[in-house]
Amino acid sequence: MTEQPILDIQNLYVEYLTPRGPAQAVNNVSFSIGAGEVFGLAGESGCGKSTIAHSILRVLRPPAVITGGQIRFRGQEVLEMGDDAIEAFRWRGAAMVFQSAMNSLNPVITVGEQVMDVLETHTKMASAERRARAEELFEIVGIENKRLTSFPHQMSGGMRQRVVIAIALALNPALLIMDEPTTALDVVVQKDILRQIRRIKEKMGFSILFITHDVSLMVEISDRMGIMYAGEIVELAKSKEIFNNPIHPYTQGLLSSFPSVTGQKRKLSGIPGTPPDLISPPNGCKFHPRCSKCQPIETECAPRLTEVLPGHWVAAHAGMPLPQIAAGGSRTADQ
Amino acid sequence: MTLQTSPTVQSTAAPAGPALDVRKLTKRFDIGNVLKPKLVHALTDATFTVNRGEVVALVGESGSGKSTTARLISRLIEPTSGEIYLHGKNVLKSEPGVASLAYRRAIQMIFQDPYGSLNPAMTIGAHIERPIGIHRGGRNAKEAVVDLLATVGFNPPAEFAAKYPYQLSGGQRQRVAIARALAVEPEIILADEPVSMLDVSIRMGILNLIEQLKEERGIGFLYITHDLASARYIGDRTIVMYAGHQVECAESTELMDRPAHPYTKLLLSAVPNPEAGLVTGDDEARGEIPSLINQAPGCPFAPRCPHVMDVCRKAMPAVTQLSQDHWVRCHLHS
Repeated sequence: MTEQPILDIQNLYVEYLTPRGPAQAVNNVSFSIGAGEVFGLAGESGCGKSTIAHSILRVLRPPAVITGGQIRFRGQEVLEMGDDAIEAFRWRGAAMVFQSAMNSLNPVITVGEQVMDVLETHTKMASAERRARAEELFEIVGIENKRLTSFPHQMSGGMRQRVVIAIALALNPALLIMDEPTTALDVVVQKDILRQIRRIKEKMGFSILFITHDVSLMVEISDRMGIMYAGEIVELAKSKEIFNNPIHPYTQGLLSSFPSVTGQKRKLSGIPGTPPDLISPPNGCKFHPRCSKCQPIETECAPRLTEVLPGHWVAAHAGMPLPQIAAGGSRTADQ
Repeated sequence: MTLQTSPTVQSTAAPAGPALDVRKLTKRFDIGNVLKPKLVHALTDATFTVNRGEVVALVGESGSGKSTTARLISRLIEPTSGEIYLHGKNVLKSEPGVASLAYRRAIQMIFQDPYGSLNPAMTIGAHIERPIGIHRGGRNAKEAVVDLLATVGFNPPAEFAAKYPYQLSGGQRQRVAIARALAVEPEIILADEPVSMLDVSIRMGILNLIEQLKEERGIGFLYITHDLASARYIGDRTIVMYAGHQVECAESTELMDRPAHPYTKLLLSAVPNPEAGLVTGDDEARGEIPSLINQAPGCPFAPRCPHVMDVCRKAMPAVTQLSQDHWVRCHLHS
């Protein structure tokens, strides 16, 4: 990326301090999101993807602590912002749609008031302006204006999720963080909302950090994506590239965990075993106990994110038998 | 597949027919009061069979009546009308009220949430021993537990028998739930979204285990899911449900390759398709599942259907047999 990224995360470390010892939830994660880009983080539960999202807005609660790294928003260091700056950054700079967003609405206040509440707290708009903006936001996400006076329980799950997206968009954020925004919804509604998000994005031009465990969904919606395992990014590339040419054995396993509705039926294996305990993770490559292609070196020392093809990064050891590495030479992620 | 899948043909099935035969099963929940009667039409005229050694997938969105179907068959709730036959015996007639021990042994259930379906204070072994004690007199229970745990993929099984649920991952707990269902040597297992709460990388392991049990032990499964792809993966037949009605049924590959009902087409188009991406053309049918309270006459999909005709709002379409094992309830095909 030549222009300045909207969000740039370098060497982020987050630990959860538990009675059994610190759990390394995010381990040396670096990525950046360009203007207007949809960047995805995919992985299973406990891989650290939501922790990263919470770190960006600095809404992590103890026992989670950021132990290292930088999060730069338009070149400004988020982790060093004072109270006023972080207050201004949240919602205007980056807004978040949470996983259980459908249930995050206040049940005793109308949805319209909840939209206007955000505007009242964060802007100096007059009451009539707030109402006009709320109507505009509802139109953007595809809800009729008359539903402003509805209570959450009068709406379906899909509608409530649209309201939550409208609230997140209230102040025209430059970055929208969506943490499993459609996981609790039915497939048809999910598709509808994803299309709408994509359309709104084209119109308003914000960037999206999209988080989900569903890799096929991610390939559909995102431009680039990172695959996370046990707190680390193990592969990062254009989404289509990851789908067509997965290199890391975990990515390959993840992609072969989704049956298809078309084509030949074939036996899928998934991945044997379970994700590791982050308090005492395995030595070397954290995936090695579940990996079918494990090399002796990987039980000892950890691989590094390496650019094996232009724009395609994989956690690998130098000299690993990947034809791409031999052909292209390698750079490390820290550059 | 030799089974006749049409509801009309089924009703003449001989007693020696399928293991489980459900006919016109209907459930309405009364949620109103004397002044304001309100009926939730949770399930209307569900008719299908499950044979031994067969996986029948029941697909639909939330509120389509899938789980109600499983709960009715497991007899956790009483149907409003309809019949359930186990090997030709009308069990709702012969054992009204509470299901017999024999019925409960033949029909077992696996639930969606493996975190809620195991007792945190009981060891894994105790969970599996209990049904053996109740249904099989408890002889050689310890050995049976070890055998069952090995069957569902625990290694070493004896060690896991002494563990507690909190020591196991979600996938392992679901395997325990399967072992518990297997403990009584059932004929049919009702699996209600058995993988939807599990991590993606371990889902296939559970689905493959179901397939293996079907093949090796000849157990029949009713596999309930909202995920068409997994229905195609392990389902021999797939039944699509919408708002309490069964709208289409076919051999799974046939159903996904040649869907006949507009709702099936809509569901298929909503499945994430990495190759095509999010096609931002005209949206097909929009909207959401209608309210199940005091349903209007006619096809429940009519308000969303892009091909809706006048007749659709007046009468529920009858079953149309498209081929030997493919039927649909849609006026477009009748």
